[in-house]
Amino acid sequence: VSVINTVDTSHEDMIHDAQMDYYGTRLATCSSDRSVKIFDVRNGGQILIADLRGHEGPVWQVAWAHPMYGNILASCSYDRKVIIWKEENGTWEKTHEHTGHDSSVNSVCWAPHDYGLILACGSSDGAISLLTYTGEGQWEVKKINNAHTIGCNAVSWAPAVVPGNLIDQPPGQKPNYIKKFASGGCDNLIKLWKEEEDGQWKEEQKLEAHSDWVRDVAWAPSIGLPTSTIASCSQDGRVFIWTCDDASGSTWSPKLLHKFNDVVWHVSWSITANILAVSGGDNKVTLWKESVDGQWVCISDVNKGQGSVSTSATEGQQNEQ
Amino acid sequence: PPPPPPDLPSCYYYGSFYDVYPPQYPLPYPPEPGTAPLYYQDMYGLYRPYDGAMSAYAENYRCPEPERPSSRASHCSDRPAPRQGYPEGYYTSKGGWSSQSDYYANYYSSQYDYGDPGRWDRYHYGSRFRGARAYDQRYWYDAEYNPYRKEPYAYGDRPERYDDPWRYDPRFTSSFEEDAELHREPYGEEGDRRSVHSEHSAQSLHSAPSLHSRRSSVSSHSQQSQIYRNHNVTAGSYDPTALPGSFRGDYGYGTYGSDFNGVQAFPEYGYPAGASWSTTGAAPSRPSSPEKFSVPHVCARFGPGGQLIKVIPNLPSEGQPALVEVHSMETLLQHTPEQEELRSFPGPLGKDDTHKVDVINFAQQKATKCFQDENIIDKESASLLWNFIVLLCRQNGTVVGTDIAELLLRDHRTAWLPGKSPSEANLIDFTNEAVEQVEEEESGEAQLSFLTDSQAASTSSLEKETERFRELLLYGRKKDALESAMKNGLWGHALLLASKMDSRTHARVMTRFANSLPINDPLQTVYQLMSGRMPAASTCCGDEKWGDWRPHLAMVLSNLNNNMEVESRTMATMGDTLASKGLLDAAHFCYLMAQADFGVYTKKTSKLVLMGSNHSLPFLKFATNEAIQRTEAYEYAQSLGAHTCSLPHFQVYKFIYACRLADMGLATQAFHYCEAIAKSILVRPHAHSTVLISQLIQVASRLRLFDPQLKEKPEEESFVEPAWLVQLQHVERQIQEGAGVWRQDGAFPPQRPSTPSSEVEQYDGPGPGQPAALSAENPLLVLPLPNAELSSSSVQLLPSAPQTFPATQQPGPTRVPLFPVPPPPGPVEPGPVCAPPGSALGFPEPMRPDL
Repeated sequence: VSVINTVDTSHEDMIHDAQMDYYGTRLATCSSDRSVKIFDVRNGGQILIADLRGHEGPVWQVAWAHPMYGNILASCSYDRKVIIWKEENGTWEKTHEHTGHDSSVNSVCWAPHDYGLILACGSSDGAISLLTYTGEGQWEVKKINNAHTIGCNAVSWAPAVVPGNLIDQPPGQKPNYIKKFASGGCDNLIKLWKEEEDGQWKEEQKLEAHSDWVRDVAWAPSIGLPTSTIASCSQDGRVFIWTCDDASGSTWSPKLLHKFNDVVWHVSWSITANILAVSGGDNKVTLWKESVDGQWVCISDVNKGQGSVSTSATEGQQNEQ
Repeated sequence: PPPPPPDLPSCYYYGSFYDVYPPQYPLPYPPEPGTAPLYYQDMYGLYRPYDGAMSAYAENYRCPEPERPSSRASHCSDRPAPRQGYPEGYYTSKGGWSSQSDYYANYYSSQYDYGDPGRWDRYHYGSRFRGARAYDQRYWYDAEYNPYRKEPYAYGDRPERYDDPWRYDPRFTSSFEEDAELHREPYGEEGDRRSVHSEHSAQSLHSAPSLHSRRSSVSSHSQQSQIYRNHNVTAGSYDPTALPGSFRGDYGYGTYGSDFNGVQAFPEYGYPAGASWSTTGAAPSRPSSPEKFSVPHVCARFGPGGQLIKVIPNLPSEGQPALVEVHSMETLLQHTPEQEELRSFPGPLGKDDTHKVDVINFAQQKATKCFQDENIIDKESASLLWNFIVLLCRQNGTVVGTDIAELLLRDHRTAWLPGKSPSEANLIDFTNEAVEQVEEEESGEAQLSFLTDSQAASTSSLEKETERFRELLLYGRKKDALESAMKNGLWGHALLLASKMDSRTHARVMTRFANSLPINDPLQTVYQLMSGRMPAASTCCGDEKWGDWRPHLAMVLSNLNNNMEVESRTMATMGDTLASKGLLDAAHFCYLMAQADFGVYTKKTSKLVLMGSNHSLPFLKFATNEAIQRTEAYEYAQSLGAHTCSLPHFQVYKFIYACRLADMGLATQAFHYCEAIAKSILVRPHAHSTVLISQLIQVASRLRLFDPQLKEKPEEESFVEPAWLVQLQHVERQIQEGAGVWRQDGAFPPQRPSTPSSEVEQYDGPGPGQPAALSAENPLLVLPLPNAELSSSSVQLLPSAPQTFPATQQPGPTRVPLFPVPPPPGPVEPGPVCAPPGSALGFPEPMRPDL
């Protein structure tokens, strides 16, 4: 009932990621068939705009840049490459290819637009690289080696908003943002990184709670409310919500959202971080929200038959086979 | 051949090993990225052969199974030719491997024979037991068994794959026999797993005791990774050692397992490997760099307009459609209490958009519900706040003090007299008749004696005392006469006499009279106030013994005069006192009467931030939907009056509310809120936080395309942002370009003072936005030369009529006091920087002269 559009992507192999652009008009998908596709999904339509070929392995994730920089999409693949695609005069083309990793690149994430065009990439080689657009087609690369032993699975930027700024008195001057991002990896850790004044990236925090690979990390978007929040999910079936209330941003405390019986693949925040979507190994999606008294509650209770995001037709097909 | 260094992690070992024999490596691995497509034609093809390679490799030196290749091929007969061909290819090139296998077999058996305990201790037990010490047992178990549990997802050759997503994995079928082999070759497989566990545990250990083993592995790591990288260069991007999740890891097992771990694992676990593995569903290992996903997986993400994007975990290579569903969050969450709560409120409330009946109904329902809510301590005051909004709406935002007094006493027509128990008939009746009566008998002895609880005032004694008073005066003994009158309760005579004597005496008599009243009598409050002092009630109310606070506040409100400062301070202090007693709603009511400004959450000196909500609570508990709705209803009710003024600090909460709407799937309503907030901000941009402005722009621009108004417009216009958004962006740019200049500008009053009602008129004109009107109003908002597209669209929205102000409006002060003030000679408060919240509480009626 809740499905308003079913996009048949015609990918020839399984889809790993699907991301709506900033305005919610275009959908980018990527697949093991090595392609990235972009669809116009306005008004319930599904017009294929671009079928981007260039990767030589499964494409794990896509990320839209802020539209102030144009229509830009990044993708990362098993082929160790990160490709940045750009729409010029209505045509999508590869604008940059980053080949600085020794193994599968598992995650890409654009920094908040306030910082410029910066892309973080996490790889199975354990490193995280940061590509900064310096103009005229040039990309500067910084690399954090050995960020995660055995590999990095996810990267997610901190929002460029000072926590609590919205509800505080208007600040006298523009605050000086510190660039930060979170990463999760096969060392069961979540790490927070921040850019030092000299432009070097330094590990700021190590968040330990998971007992197995961290599959995904999502730093919650912020409109300037007091608490900073990070969600993480793991192979161990646990989803943790990490919160930080102090101004220095150094004390993070975990709260177990739920222990699932299966691996949890993804966590994803709604646009202003009121709702968390959890995608689990049981192929169910659950939606969670923090209650007034600080408890995380599942608001898409499958048992009630309402609000659940069932896999509908797909389940039937699976059962047949 | 010399045995490899035993402490090398298998993967690296193999990395180097592979380096040595590149030509022998099976052909299907393309040496260069250019040929990769072939290789990647089907990723499963890739893995199966690898598995095959691994097991075949194991077979080779342990349990050869010549029939395997063909049986596998038949298994795969439904697959495309390249995949079928692959194993064949592998087997033809297998010869190259056999030498390695032999070597391994030798090495393995030698290890096995030795069973060197020292070696176990060092490489396996060592790290293990140190690990067990460093971490508690449970952690160990987690670390040990979770990888097994998860492995079915990462690897296709485990029994559990029968259960779910794995049934689609081609590897599934291809590895049938490998399951059988499991039982036949427990050693090899078992060893594989063990090796990984110890590797894993070594990696999990961050504690000092394991330093030794870590160090050794780290050093080998760097060595080997060097080789590995070199190798990468030569082999191109498809170097199998670099392929996560398959080759490097799998390959490692053979080595590693046949090295030393396999041997140890047995004594330690002491169960037959094959059987236990099939039940625990354990898989080979944690590979050192896995592929991110090897099975279809659901993936949910949000879109900006209340969409939930969901990747359906299908396997198109098995004929399933590659679908991505877009769900409506609005529908998904339509039965959640929160969405119902949000939908029940008719916001955003605008003077010309919202019918006040809707707001009145909403507020009335809320007022009624207050009495049913078990969590509310002071139900009457909670209800009072809502009823106040109802009253404001009904009277179009204009109320006078007596209106509120009536509201306060509506269900409190009676109040306990002090010092009496509730069971006795000791009530002051505040019904109108009673009030009139009181007024009539104000100076009468009967009333006074009643109030003072004096039973002696009989008519005869009264006459007698009057006679005495007269007598004293006859002889000119004024002071004695005065004293006698006071003693005997002849306050009328006493006061009249004193008023004709010196002012000090007069004051003394008045004080003494006042002191003869009980301290918690509302009369005290009004007399004290009229004397220009802050009544005792303001610091004593809210106490059980003191009695009800309402008559005192009602007394103040009904008898307002020009002494605005004291009256306002009295009510605010009353609020503070009530708040300190935990009566928050009552306190907020007092603050509203005192026209306290709506403050800031982080500033603890703020009197109130959201109506009826305690801003010392944690943010989520404080900024509830209901509190925001209530405050917005109040803001709306105020706007109905002539003295409209939005609450600047409150706009932030409307924005927070809009974000909640958007996330709960109510994108249209959320966008509507953004517009309302933006218009409120644009009236006085300098009164608002830059953070709010920039966040509002971001959220609004993402919601913009979900505005149903767009559907009415031609498609090319959908790229045109609404005028208010363009203006807001312009303001933001100005702030960014020079906050200092901007602030300075903001400190000056606008050239044409923007009175609240003129704002309303501007905004509620024909179109959604009137940029020109605003531009004229505020030099900050002068748009840069708009591009053609923009101007063409803006033109339509411009109001055709020139900006005029209603004749009745005074330019200048927007602050309309609660208390009557003489008309100011000129602008009293230049620059309405911070607009007062309670400006609608005007008291237009002339006050009677005071005492």
